[in-house]
Amino acid sequence: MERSEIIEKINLFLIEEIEIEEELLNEEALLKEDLGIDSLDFVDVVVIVEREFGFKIKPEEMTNVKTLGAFYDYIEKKVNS
Amino acid sequence: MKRAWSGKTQGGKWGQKFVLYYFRYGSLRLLYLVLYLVIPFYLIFDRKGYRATRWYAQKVGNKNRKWHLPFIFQIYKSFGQLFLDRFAMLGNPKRKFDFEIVNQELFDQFYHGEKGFLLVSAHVGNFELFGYFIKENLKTVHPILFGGEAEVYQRMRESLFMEHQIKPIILNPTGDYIFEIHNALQSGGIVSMPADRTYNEIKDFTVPFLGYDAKFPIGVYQIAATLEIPVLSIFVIKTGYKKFRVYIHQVSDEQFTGRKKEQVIQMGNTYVTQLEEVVKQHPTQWYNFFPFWDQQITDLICNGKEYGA
Repeated sequence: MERSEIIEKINLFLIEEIEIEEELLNEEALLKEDLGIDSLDFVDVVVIVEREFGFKIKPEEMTNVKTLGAFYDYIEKKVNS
Repeated sequence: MKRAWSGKTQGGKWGQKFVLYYFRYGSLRLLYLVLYLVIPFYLIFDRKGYRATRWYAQKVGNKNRKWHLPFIFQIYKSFGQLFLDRFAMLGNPKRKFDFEIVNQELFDQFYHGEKGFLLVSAHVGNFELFGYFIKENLKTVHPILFGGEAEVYQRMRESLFMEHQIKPIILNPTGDYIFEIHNALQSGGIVSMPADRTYNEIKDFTVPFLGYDAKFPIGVYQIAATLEIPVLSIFVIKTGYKKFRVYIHQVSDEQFTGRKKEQVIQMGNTYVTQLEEVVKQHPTQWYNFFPFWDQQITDLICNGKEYGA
């Protein structure tokens, strides 16, 4: 899957489901501090990733994922591995 | 001023150990009597709790002033008995308690289903005892506990819960519990939690409750809507010595239609209505000893007796 396609899917979800403003979505944005994604939102993230990308997020793999860019990288790596 | 609940259940380690040891052989009624000696000290020295409870008595309870102190005393007494009942069960699991279940068939319907479900409760009655009326071992129950709860009590509960196929999920700062909740529900388990207290920065919504606006957490309904998991409410009310009535209601079913945001609010409102009904019936079993309502916070400041002073 192309990175652009991954970004498009994730951003669409963040805008529609988590209600994050589109202009805040950039690769340097911190998931928690800048985008306000809290642990409850993460339930949605886990579900959408499973549904859209076909794998289950493991908590230990997310420990170093702090920014949106790192999250795109993580998804890209898992999808294409 | 922020709501004051810290996420910790009060109680010293040695005191809890002593009470647990006492209940291996000791009488429950005897400690009920001891409460009459202890409660006056609480009324005098627990000023925060007393002020919050007095507001509740004045605004929500009877308007007659003479009635307020006995009402407040009764709340503290019920609260003390709640802890003693819990410790009596933990200290001696063979001790018999009677549970009368309202809507047992509703619970059974979900309990025998393949899907996991959420069980929401509140700090009314003795919600932590709900696991004890489940006689079959079909589903694992995952009560959500705050990591700050007194250590010994938590450990004792864990060891007792194991026998009942109950595995607690501890809320920790790392957020791993979200994965645990997700996995528990996806594997057909029951996740239970009180849904009446906002804590730190968790998301909430405002809704009229007993005549005044109050904030309730909304996350549990977000989880339900996201995972399309049904929600039941459960309230375990003390009705007599070693006797409890368990109220079970449906908050949502498996048919999730419409916008997620609306579903979430609808579930929240349904839960609050059910809670309100139970609190109206059992007003002295409501245990939130801090400013719970928006108006309560304002009043406590305006009276010149700032909460916590």
